[in-house]
Amino acid sequence: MKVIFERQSLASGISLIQNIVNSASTMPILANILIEAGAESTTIYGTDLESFGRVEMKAQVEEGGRVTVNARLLADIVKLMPEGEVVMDATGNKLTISGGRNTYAMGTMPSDDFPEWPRIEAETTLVLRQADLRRILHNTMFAIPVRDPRKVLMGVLFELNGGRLTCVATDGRKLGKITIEPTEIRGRDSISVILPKRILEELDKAIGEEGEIELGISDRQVSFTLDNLSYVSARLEGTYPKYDAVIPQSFKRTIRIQKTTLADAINRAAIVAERRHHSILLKFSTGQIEIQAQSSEDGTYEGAIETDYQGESFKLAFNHQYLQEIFKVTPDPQVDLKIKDVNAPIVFECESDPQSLFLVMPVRISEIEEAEANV
Amino acid sequence: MRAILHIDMDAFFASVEVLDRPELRGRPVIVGDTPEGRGVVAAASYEARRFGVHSAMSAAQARRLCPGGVFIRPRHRRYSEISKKIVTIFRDYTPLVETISLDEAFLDVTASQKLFGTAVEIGRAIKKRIKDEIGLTASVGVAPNKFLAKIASDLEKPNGFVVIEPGTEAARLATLNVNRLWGVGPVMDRELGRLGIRLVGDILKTDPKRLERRFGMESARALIDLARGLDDRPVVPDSAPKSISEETTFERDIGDSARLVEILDGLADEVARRMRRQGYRARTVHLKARYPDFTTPTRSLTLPSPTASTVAIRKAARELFEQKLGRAGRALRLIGVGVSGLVPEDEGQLELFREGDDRAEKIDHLIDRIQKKHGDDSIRRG
Repeated sequence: MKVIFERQSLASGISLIQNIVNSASTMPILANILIEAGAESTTIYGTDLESFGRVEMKAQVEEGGRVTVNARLLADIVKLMPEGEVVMDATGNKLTISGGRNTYAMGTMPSDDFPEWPRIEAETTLVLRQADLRRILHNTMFAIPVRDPRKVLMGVLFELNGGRLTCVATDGRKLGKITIEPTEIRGRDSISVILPKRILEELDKAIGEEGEIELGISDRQVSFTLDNLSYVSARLEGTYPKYDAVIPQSFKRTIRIQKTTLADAINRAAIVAERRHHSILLKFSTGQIEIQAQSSEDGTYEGAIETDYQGESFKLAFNHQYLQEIFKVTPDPQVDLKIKDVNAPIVFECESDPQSLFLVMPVRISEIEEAEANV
Repeated sequence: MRAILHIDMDAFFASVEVLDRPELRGRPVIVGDTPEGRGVVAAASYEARRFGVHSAMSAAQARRLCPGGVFIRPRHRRYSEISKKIVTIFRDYTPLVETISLDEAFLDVTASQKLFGTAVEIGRAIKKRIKDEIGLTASVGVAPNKFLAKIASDLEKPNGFVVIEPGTEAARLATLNVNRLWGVGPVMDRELGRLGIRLVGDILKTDPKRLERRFGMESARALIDLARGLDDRPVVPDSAPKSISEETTFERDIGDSARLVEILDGLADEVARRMRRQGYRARTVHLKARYPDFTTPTRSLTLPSPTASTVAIRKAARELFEQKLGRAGRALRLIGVGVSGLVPEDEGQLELFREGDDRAEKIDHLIDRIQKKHGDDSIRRG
């Protein structure tokens, strides 16, 4: 095999595959990527057996063939090569990589040992705008827990129903939800699938604002195809919690807040919030919100901001981290806080994006304080 | 010799109310449910106590005893706020602060004496600062261990300051009623009465064999130790412990596995309770055993998710015992249960999807509350 790449495009191709590769695997071949040069195109493959990625590259093929090489090693080499051509030349189990007056030579592993690209028989295919998928990932992925024994939470739920796709992620304390309309649906019109965080993170890097992406869904796997890039991933198995049942449908109060003003005050309060549970207290009363935090180690904070709120006074307590995360993902400068009860999920919505909803579970306010607050 | 302080705020909730509303000073203040309600009294000022009002009494009864009482609904957040300020004062003298509740804490000031003077001086300084900076009175006990320090703080309540000097323990304790000893509940109190034992001093005058016959070796030993003023439990600081454990050495080796499991359950209960009290959940449960030849193997088990549930800790401890260490019928000298991998419990954080055994959790909290109010022997798991 002899192929001539342009350094920059080879580097970006490798970066789309490199994270799929599992360098810590007990199977050494899984630390490698496969480069396949054919008459029509050159393709780079990587996998950890859960997820598969492949990217088609522009390259000048002098001699077709296949070679596998350690992914991290290749990435490091290509990163430091001078701009211009990078030539990969494989004969037998020897590979040389040259760029300018630099040449690396190394042994390779048999390319036939590399796992085969999975064939997936998609029952359902969805075509989405890349910009829509971007919004989906932006509005949900922040809510995926870092780790959780509930495996189903380690991904985003994609639910297709009546021509609309609803996507949800939650860690049980905060939740992000968005509904979009796919540009095309083939196959079943109702489907529910949980996509693992890992592959979504890779997609997030690969997609842009233009163009479309195709999602193929089979009973065990899901595939993503855009331009010259494909990913296939195992679905997360299990039953997603009934998120619909916990989203309040009616509200006692809706309060429009200036996001940055409140976010600034919360950031100030956060400095002294109790490290154990990060809770801060918001006291709403006509015309203002008072913000309070205290910790035994650091002291107390009291602040206030103005609002248009008119009505009886009440208090809400939150883990400030969750609020900060919500404020980061909401698109508008103004956010509507919808409250059913001070101990029920609090909904956050933006006028410009009625298809999205965010939710935070507050910190309990004891019945007595509640009574006090309602005096 | 250790130097332990026990600091107990006087009628804490009621005193905070008087602090915030000075016009109530000198009046019988009763914090708790309204007298029309079916709830109970959480705290009563000393003025109200003169009418016979005490905590845990029904509010309606309190009204009958003290019709002129000022009834106030509790404001826990405020009490907690003041409590935190008080704990901040404690931490100026030692990191070894074990808070028992909002109004009560143990401090180990053994090492602090080099920096801040004697334990008595530290106790006086803390008492004065609570008065000057917060405006409340506390009763302080200074003693060589937790048990004596707690007895001491109670002797001259309110606004007391009692030192039990090493060597004077037994004399100090002799005239106290036996029910002041830890572990002596109403039943044991009655049993002791039948043996003619009413005062702590009577215990030491009684033949230990008689006590053993009546209460068993373990309890008899514990009684005698306490009557002598002996107690070696450490002050467990509240800040980020790495592990929590309980163990017990047997008077005689125990080979009966049913009996061992029973003891194990008790240790697991205590570990789980301490975890909850300190606001932690644990990922890993450890079991420690010591065989008659003094080999002391330990085994551990990592749970799928952190827990502070008594049932879960018991289950893990039993599993370890049955599968790893309870070699068929082999006798043990010591057995212990511990937990590590502690994560702070996000106190009060509500969950969207309630997982796990909600009922077991409720039972844990209920038992914790009852034990806190009425003592450890008031309720036991089956």
